[in-house]
Amino acid sequence: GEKPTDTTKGADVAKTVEPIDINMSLVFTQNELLTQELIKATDKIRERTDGGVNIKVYPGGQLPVYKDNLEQVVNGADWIAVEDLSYLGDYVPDFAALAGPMLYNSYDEYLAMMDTKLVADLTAEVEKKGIKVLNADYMFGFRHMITNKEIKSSADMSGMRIRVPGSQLFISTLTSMGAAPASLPFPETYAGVQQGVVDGLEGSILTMYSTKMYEVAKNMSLTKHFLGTVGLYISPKVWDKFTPEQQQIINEELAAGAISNTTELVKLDSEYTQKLQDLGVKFNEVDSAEFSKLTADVYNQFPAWSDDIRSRIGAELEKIRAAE
Amino acid sequence: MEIYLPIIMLFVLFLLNVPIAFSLIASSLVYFLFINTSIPVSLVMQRFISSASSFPLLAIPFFIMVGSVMNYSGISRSLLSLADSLIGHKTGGLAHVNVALSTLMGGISGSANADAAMQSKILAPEMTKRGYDLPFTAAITAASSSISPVIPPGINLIIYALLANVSVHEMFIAGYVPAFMMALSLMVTIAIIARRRKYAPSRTEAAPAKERLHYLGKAIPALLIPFGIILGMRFGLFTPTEAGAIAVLLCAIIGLFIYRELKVSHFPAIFKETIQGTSSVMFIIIGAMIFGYYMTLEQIPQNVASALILVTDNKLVLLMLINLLLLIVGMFIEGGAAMIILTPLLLPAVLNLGVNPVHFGIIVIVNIMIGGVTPPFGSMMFTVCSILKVKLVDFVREVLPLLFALLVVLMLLTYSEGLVMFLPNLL
Amino acid sequence: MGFLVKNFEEIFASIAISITILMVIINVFLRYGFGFVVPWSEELAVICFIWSVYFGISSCYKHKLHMGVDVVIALLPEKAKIPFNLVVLSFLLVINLILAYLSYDYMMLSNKVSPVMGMSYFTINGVLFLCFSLMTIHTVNFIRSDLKQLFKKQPNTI
Ligand code: NA
Ligand code: NA
Repeated sequence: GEKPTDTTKGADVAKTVEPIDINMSLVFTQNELLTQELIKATDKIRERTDGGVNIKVYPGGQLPVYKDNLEQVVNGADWIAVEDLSYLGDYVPDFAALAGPMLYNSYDEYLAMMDTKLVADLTAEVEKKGIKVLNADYMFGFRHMITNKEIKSSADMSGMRIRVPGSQLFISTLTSMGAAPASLPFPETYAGVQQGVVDGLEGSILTMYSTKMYEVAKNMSLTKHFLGTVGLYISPKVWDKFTPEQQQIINEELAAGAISNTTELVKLDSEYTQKLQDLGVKFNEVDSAEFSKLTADVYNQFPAWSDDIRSRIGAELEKIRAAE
Repeated sequence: MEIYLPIIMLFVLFLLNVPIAFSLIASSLVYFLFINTSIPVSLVMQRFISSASSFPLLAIPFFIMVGSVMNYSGISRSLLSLADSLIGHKTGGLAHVNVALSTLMGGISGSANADAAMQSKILAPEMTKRGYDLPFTAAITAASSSISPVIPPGINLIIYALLANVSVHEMFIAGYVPAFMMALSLMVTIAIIARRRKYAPSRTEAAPAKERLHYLGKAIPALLIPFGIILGMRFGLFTPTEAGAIAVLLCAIIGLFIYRELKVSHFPAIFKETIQGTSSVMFIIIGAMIFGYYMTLEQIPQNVASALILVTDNKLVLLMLINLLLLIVGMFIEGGAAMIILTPLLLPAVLNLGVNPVHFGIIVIVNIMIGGVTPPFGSMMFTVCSILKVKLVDFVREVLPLLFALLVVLMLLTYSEGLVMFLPNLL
Repeated sequence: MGFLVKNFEEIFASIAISITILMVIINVFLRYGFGFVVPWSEELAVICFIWSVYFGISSCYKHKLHMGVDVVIALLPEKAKIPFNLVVLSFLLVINLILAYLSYDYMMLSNKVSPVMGMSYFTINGVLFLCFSLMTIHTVNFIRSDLKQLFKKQPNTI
């Protein structure tokens, strides 16, 4: 995505201000929506700063991702990590609760949550630990159950082997919903579902479509048990290297990118639902109240989280819903 | 220009006989210490852990251990006696068995390195016992291991399907014909070499039916292992990686209780062989990953790829150039990593020129696998040579004709889309 | 005791790889036979694999099993081989020392915990420090024995 004109423009400015190269690392692949939006946003930043802020996007886990990604930021590398909020949990545990099960009913509710004082306080806390949250408004969809069986309640899920990422939050959540979670590497999952090593997986509509899981699993039960979101994190030390004008441009473009991402996501959700239906995938609603009740205990299973974190998040959500 | 210094340094260290893994790591260290200081140097150590933290890599120790246990338990000998009674009167019989095994059992490990490691342990000792040169044996084992990842359900087929947005099913089915052609080309080459060198058949005439039946009977427990594994995978009892661990268990049980040749006193040696075989391979893989980290940060593979696309808009010329590029990249970077980096860059260009993405995927995978056997770098080449303790010079001399055969197949696959797409199009 | 010290790497690597294999086998049986999944089995299997790999790397080093490209050394005259080898060994000593230092630094930075079991990365990253320290010691031993041989040989060649 780099344009040759940008570098020549940058050369003029380089005489006054040294251009800053930043690596942006994410696990999403090149053709996924989120990657495309971030490439667009960083291109705009490069253009508007005349090459002064050169953020190179490395998709597909080419550079360190997951916990290693955050480790780069915390140790002051010229780096932007793109990971979900639960990864901040290693530094400020309550952050992980914001990525907990059965919280949000809509994308807007999540975006409103990111504007609350609760989140502002946590953000200030994690900044002291060496992580500045640049933006946390990028989403990639609700996660549902992808299997070959209609799941409406916990009883339907009983004993089903469901592939989850290797994360305790996912394991606890799926267990409380009644499934037997198995952490399988993602590349082995397709053949795993096809041959019956696992009975299904959980993931978003976009994941089901783009990873071809519909070839081997024909049902999607809309549990909405997690909302897939990511934040963009940078070291405060690196952030301070930018001029105030540059900082403003970065904030503006990332915010604009997030809005564009959400708009596209809503479009793609309905587009891909239609495409999946055309390919023979059946969708069904579930008993959300039951799953909400069952997963409530997950919030007590992480000793590092504050005792009242679930009720504080709940209170904010009530305020958000009342305001709608 | 200084960003190319690590590549120059790598070649110098190689010539000085510095172990390969250390050459890769030391040249990368120069980059992170002196050339790019935007990342704290200690964090380079992340890559030492993350390069080894992948569940599918466990296939390597598992299948090396399978090979080792099979040798101590008499399983390999009974399998080889059966093979020998069937085709031992033909020139180059066991060499053909080596190729056939990679093709038939390829789907089990799905990993070229695991396949190369296992067959180095099982087949190579028997082949040398029956008069084949060790370097020739090593070359066949390495070259034929390139077939395994092309056979479903190879992980590379899946990763490519995801990257290129094509059907995983189609990729799986598209793999069969190319894999078969690779096997055939190797067998033809081996037949020619064996005849020229007058490798004596291990027996003067075909074994009588009675003898064949005798060896078949003795080999039945041993034959249960591959069948058990393939069935277990087809019925979803375990994943390809897990199959390796199950195979260890099966071999140990059969060796201890049926053939009764395996003794508890063999286990220290089995463990030592497994650990050393795994670690010498893993150290090179880790070194290659760290060198790949430097290349990725400098976007060297991408720059070369975009330069290529600017050179030509002729479909056939571009495919040829891409073949060359992938071969060279496959020399330096581990296959899966190379594919992840290059596919998104090359695909739009070739799609524009009307290349079918499934066809292109097969070209990419076959190409990178051949790169893994091509000197001066290549993961399967290193795997086989370090386990069999073959000198690289000797290996290179022997592998050249086999490489030539594989390259001919690659050319055929590249320029006749029908060969690859014939099966998927039937669906 | 001497056996323990001499085969330190091999013993630890064997224990670690045994745990890896057992974890994977047990997981398959539990999952298929009892529909029961051990969520942390994959993570533990991989961590033990990493330990076994790095102890194994040091073991291979001790037994000179890491491959190099032997073209040039094959061309050297017999007399030049030991001095040439000493140069390479000194280079390896420097690299191993740097890697041991960097691993120590990295080990002390570890504030991550493993995603499922919550195990501290200190214990995982620590194996790097052990591995490169052991290889530093082995290199010193190689240099010592090469030097001994060099000075023993000198009177004969004159
Ligand atoms: Na083979
Ligand atoms: Na190569």
